[in-house]
Amino acid sequence: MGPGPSNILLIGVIAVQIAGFGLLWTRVGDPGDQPVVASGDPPRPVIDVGSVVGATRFPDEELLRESVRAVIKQELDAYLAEREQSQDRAVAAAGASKRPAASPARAAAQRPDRPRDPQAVEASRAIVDRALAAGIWTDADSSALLAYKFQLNEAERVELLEKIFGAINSQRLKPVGSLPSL
Amino acid sequence: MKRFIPWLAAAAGLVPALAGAEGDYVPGYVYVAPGNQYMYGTFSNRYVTTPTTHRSYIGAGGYANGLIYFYGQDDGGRYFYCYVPTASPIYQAAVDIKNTLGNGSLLSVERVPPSSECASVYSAKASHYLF
Repeated sequence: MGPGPSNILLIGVIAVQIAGFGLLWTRVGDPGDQPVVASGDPPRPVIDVGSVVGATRFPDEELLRESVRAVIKQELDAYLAEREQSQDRAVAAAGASKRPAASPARAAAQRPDRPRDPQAVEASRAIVDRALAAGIWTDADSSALLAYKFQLNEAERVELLEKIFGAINSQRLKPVGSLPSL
Repeated sequence: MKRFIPWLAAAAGLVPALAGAEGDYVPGYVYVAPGNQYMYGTFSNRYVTTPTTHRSYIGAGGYANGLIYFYGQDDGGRYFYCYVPTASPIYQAAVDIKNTLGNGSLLSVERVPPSSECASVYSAKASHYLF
């Protein structure tokens, strides 16, 4: 029994469907047929897998740059506004009016660089006083004083130096050996 | 030609003298002013061989980001010591001067008694201070 006309028609329709799917399949996989982005649309990357893997091309570079600039400006404006507001809040919280900033030298002078150590101060003063009484500054005095160097702040070191150098400059203390340094 | 020969001989005789010529040279010294208000001196004083009562010296030192010092003794045995605190307006300049002192340097420092803080620091480098 041979195929009837309806069977032939059915087989023909199925063949056409298969050919149509096959054609669609091959066209979807063809990178050259990606839709071109119109200039007014948001930029979308087009990945050219046929040439350089991972390379990205943008159809409208200028539009992309403009978008990036706009985003950065928006973010920066928001950040600066927030920072200004936080500074105003800090000044208001401190209850202080705006004053001119102190010079770096003055700020350094006012900064307590380390907490005061009364025992180290007293011990250092005792070393200096003994040397002044003896009229001579030796390496042993320098070594003994250096042991307390890191427990003294600069104001305390200056106080000691004024005593030592003052005595040297008035020729009441003779430095022998290393420089009395703090 | 013969008349030029004596002149050529005389010129040739001058060449060694010219080769041995030296520029100006200032023998090293350190001076501390009466009252110890200031001190100046050259770093070439190390090479002064003239006998003196006291061996003169001049120097500078200090800790990084800390107090720095200038000091010396003249040949009369007079000491001068001054310091520059970090808060001083001349601190950075004094650090720069301290770090460039060496052969050919002249240093001058001043204080305002009774304080021993350096009020001014001056330095120069010159060929006649080289040793």
